[in-house]
Amino acid sequence: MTFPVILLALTQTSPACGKSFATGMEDYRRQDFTKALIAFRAASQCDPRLVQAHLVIANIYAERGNDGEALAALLQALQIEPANLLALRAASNLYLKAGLHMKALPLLETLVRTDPKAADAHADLASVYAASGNREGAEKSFRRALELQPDYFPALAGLGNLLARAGDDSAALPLLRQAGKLQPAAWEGHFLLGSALNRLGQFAEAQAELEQAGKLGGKAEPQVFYQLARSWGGLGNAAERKQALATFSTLTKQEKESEERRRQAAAWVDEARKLVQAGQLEEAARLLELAREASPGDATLLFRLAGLNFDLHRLDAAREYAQAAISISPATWLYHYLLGLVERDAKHLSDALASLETAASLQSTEGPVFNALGEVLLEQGQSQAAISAFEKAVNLAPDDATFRQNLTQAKRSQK
Amino acid sequence: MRLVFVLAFTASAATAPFFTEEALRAGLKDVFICGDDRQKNYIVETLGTGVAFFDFDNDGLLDIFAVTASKLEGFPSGSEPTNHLYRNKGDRTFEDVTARADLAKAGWGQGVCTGDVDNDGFEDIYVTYWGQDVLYRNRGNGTFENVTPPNIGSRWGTGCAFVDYDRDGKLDLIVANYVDFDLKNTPRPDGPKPCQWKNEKVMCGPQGLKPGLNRLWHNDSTAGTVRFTEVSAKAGIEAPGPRYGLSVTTLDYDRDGWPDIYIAIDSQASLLYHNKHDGTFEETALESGVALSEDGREQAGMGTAAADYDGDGWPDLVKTNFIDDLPNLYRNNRDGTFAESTVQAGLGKSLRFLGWGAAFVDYDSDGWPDIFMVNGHVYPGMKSGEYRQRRILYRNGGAGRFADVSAEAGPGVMEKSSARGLAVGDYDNDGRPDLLVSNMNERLSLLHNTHARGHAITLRLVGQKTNRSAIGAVVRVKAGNRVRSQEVRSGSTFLSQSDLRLHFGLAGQQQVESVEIAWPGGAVEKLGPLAADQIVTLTEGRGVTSRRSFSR
Repeated sequence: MTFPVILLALTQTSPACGKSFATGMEDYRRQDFTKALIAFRAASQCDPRLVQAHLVIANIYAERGNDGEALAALLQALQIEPANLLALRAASNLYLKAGLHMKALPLLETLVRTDPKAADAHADLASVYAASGNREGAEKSFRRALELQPDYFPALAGLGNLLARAGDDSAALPLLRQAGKLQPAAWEGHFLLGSALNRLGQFAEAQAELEQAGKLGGKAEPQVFYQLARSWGGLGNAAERKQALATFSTLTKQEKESEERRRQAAAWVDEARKLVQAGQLEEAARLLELAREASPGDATLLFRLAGLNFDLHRLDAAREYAQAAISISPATWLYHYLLGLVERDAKHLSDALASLETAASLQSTEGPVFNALGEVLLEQGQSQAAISAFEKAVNLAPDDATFRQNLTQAKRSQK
Repeated sequence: MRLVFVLAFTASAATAPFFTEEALRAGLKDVFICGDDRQKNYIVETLGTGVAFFDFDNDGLLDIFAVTASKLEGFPSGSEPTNHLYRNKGDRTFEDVTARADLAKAGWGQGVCTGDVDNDGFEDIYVTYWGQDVLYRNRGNGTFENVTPPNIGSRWGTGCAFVDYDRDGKLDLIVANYVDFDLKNTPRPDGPKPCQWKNEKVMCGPQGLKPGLNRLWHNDSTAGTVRFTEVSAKAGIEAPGPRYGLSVTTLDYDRDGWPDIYIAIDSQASLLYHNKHDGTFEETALESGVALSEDGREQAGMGTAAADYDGDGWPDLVKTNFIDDLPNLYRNNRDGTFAESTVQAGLGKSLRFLGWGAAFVDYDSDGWPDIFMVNGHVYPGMKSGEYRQRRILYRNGGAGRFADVSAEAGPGVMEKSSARGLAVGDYDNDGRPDLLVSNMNERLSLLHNTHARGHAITLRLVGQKTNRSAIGAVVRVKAGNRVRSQEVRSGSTFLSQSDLRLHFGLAGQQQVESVEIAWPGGAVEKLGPLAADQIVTLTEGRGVTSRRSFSR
């Protein structure tokens, strides 16, 4: 999606904002995605209605596996253009990936209204209907998808599965077999076919399909082994059935433990919040550290830990956490701002300046960022630049006495 | 034109309703409470309450015990709802004898099961509570005394069943516990951290709340003293860890003569405790194929029942689940495992029902156990679905296939309510099993069976060496070219107790050729022939000790 989007953006935005966008494009071409994100975020700050900036940000985050940030960018794009096909499709896909079917539903309904010939949209909508118990709606939408694209794998597999679950195996099997032929390397097709064959009591063929599903990437999926156990049971092979059930149990246990870790991490964060409010920062930091171990890729958590350590004057730890948060979510101004404050207190003024400048480019409406920038510039002896940063801070927050005082002192020191 | 009219008349006659609602006529007017009916802020308000068909005064007529919960805001002192005991007057009406029987207890009642714990010939009652469960001993004079074990603790008890798991002749007790519920720390839908269901703010749970632990109590009673000792850990009942336990069904699924225990679990894998004959159990639900859905998913199991629906002599299982899911019909493979047969058997037609009580009942006495299920949602104010739902009657066609005959069954079955508990029993002794349903914050439903009579026989078993209620006895009745089998069972369905007598539909057979009784202690007794259309009492070691023709 990227290059047409970028070109379109360049023609639509103002020259000043277009400069940031073009910089982002250059960074993107060089595959420096961190810099690209910062530039695109700056472009979106400059022109908040620049849909393309949000779309590209979403694209980069999605490629980096950060679905949360990608979704946030897509929802921003949809606020600007509610019927944007790219954003509707991508956001609904991310919701489906996260299992949030009901959140995907309105997006998909809009998508099929806006682009009624999109087979994928009808098939996705059908999946949501099926997950929410609307069997009739699901069947209708799957069939519509197949009218539009008779060889569309998700629709064939989805409709086959729907019919099989309703007991209409004679109608389901041809669809599932066709799906399997279309994408012989997709484990899902073999799994669905194997499951339907199990229901029909055709255990030998089911077992072969399910073994194939396991080989093709379904070996981490507990349900594959549950179905395999059913096949072995039907074939009278108690030892293989037991083995398949044991694998199922192990995988299920792993899934549950992972879920439990996430739940526990959320509980620790909640508890830590209360402790911070009660002034018990040490204990809060301990709980957040436990939460981080359970959920190491959570940028928000890393940011909270950085903040707490900063408040506790543990600057090395604060830096480490802030940098880790930035590595996951490089276009979040707050993380750069915090890192700038950490470096400022550590007297690493060049690093502080770089971080605060990045924060300012990502978020041009936050007085504290410019105030901190002014303080660092002043310490570096760059009085004029400091004055202009303080002026910006005061303009953004005219009632802030500290900003005004800093500006006055900077002007005095220049004289 | 005349032919058309004749056909229309014939069709009309064939589909005359055969379950009629008789609660009001029978005098069952009390409303049974479980939380607020417009808004459920906590999960404890959602389970409803159970009902029991049992003969407390041994007059040969089924009486009714119905449990009530309460409201979280409480009631003015003196006007709290209580459980009720209704005595069957023999004319298809009941009188409320709660106070006279010393059973007027308020509290957050949930389930009920009955059994003769002291082998004195009178059925005793166990009532589960969110709070402290209560065991009532039937004094035999129309009154009951509270003989609750002192160390019973305070939990959220749900389903229960009496079962002589060690075959010592005394009824032990298994109790499911749902959630270790903490009202103060559970979010409300209108609070800062509401839970969501289909984008609507709803009460939270059970997921995210602390599950309960199932409990097994061993009966250590001696003459004149009722005493139970908790043996849950020692017996292996705690081994699977805490679960959201709901209904309890006991059954000898592997026909080894020792009772096993199946517990429907909400939002987690259900449990099957296999009896190891040494006072302990091994949990085998996954290996046996009754833990999960057909595709390996955990389900929200609610009600359970067991019966030999396919006539192969082995007990099968049915389980109700949450909405957007199917019930489970597990066919016994006769090798210690079950095969899910829900869709193949015709029970996979709709995901619209949130099921609770389920029972096998041969309503048309054709010898094939049919299935009755009651339904109702847990979120009264929701926009996306029906809170009050109709019941479902599935007729067993005899070849492992069921058909939904609810509409034919009549308005009593099609009536919508948020139903929970279900008990089966022939309260007018006419040889046709009737249905008793508890409805959330409404009066009970009493569905009187008026189906055209087929031949049938009802057997009441009385243990002598084994427990007096004969719970766990398996009876095989041979009539015509078929053998029908049933087990005497306490508890089951959902929070409820059905008639302990066994009703065998005989279709066109006017007599039973033979009856084989496998008593819980292991002894097997054979007798027969017996004429159809009567209620026969069979006493262990003494054969037929009384007979009574079906009422007309």
